[in-house]
Amino acid sequence: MFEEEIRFLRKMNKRQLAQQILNFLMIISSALMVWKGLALYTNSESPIVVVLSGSMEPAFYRGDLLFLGMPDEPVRVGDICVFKIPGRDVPIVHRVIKLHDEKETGKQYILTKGDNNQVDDRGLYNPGQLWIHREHIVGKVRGFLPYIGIITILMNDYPQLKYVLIGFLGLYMLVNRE
Amino acid sequence: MYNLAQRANAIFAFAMTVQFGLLLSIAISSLYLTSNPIGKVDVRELNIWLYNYDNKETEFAFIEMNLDADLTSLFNWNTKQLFVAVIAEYETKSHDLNQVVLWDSIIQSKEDAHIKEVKVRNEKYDFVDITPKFGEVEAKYSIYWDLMPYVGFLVSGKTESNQTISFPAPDNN
Amino acid sequence: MWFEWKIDFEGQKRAELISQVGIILFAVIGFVVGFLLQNLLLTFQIFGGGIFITALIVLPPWSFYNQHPIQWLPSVQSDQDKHEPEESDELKEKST
Repeated sequence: MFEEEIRFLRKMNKRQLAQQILNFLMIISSALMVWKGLALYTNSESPIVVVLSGSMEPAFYRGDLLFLGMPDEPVRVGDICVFKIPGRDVPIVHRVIKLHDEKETGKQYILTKGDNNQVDDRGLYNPGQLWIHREHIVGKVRGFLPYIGIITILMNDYPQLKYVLIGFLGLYMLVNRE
Repeated sequence: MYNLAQRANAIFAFAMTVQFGLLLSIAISSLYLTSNPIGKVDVRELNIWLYNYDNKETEFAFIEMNLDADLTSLFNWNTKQLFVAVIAEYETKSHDLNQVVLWDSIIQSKEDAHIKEVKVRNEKYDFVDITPKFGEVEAKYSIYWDLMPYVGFLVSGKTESNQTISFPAPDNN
Repeated sequence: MWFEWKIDFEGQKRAELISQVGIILFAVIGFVVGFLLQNLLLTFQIFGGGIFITALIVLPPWSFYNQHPIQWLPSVQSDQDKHEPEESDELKEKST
């Protein structure tokens, strides 16, 4: 049944294999360059994020894609920001509902809340922490693309999918001559 | 392209690329659609009560307002919803800008974009300063809107405030 | 194989052209109509419907894709190369 494929695999020598691997690495590194370039342009650590929770429904659903920017202007009430609480990995996308700019230091005291939540985010901040500041903010949401990020959600919820995908990719690489 | 699989794959890939261009065109073209949102906030009552908060006597404000706004012009083909809020802005001795949300609403269709609310209170939001006392400064009240598109750029704005009101002295001194 | 729906080279060029023109055309029409009528759903209905129509025209092996069938050279009865078809000779002939 697989005679032709097995014969083809036996014919492959080290040089062809090396070339395949090099091609693969080239694709990965150019993708990485585009990502890092985008991060530089938007002045944000991770310029594209996938919505993970339903706390901003009906505006954002799980799987939507958000484009961030981090302009020099200060944060203002109403802005939808992506921020990270120190000590926690997961970034949160919520709206600024309170803002107090300290005159002397210029420090911004920010309180956030998800549109779909009944209470503000103080329950999500670290214990004793009542406000977040500009340094916690990864970026402001500027643009929006629906559904595209659903792949990331599927990968998160069904981690076996990652291995299946990599398995297929490897198989495809071996049998494909290009 | 010689067999079904090849042609199907080619059509799929090309359609994806063209779709991306289509989404981009929709996003950019929507920026050029004009709108004229109008609205105003009428403050009917503003009271201050003192409560013990974090071991300090703190001023909590309670407001009652009438809202009148027409945001229908913001609804175009790419408008998914509007997030609307009433915000209070004021300056104190220690903080030169303070912005607080008092009321919010999510509008999902053009027909619902006429806001005529009477005797609205800040039930969901605490009206309290970052310091224990407001200090009887003046505040402006305006309507803030944030447009969420089906695809593209988020746009927001604020209507002009037509009155500045000072915070009164506490009622339970 | 019968399920491969093969078409000849001229047919492939035709299919490629039709599919590209068709998809772009329906995207543009969808955009213009949707924008003028301010109806985003309509844009995607036109675009989606257009892809479906294009697939109907391009995927099946209609007869106008097989107007120039490949002229295979007569096979040579030799003991050694029973595996390798005479395709390469045919291609060389085409390019001269």
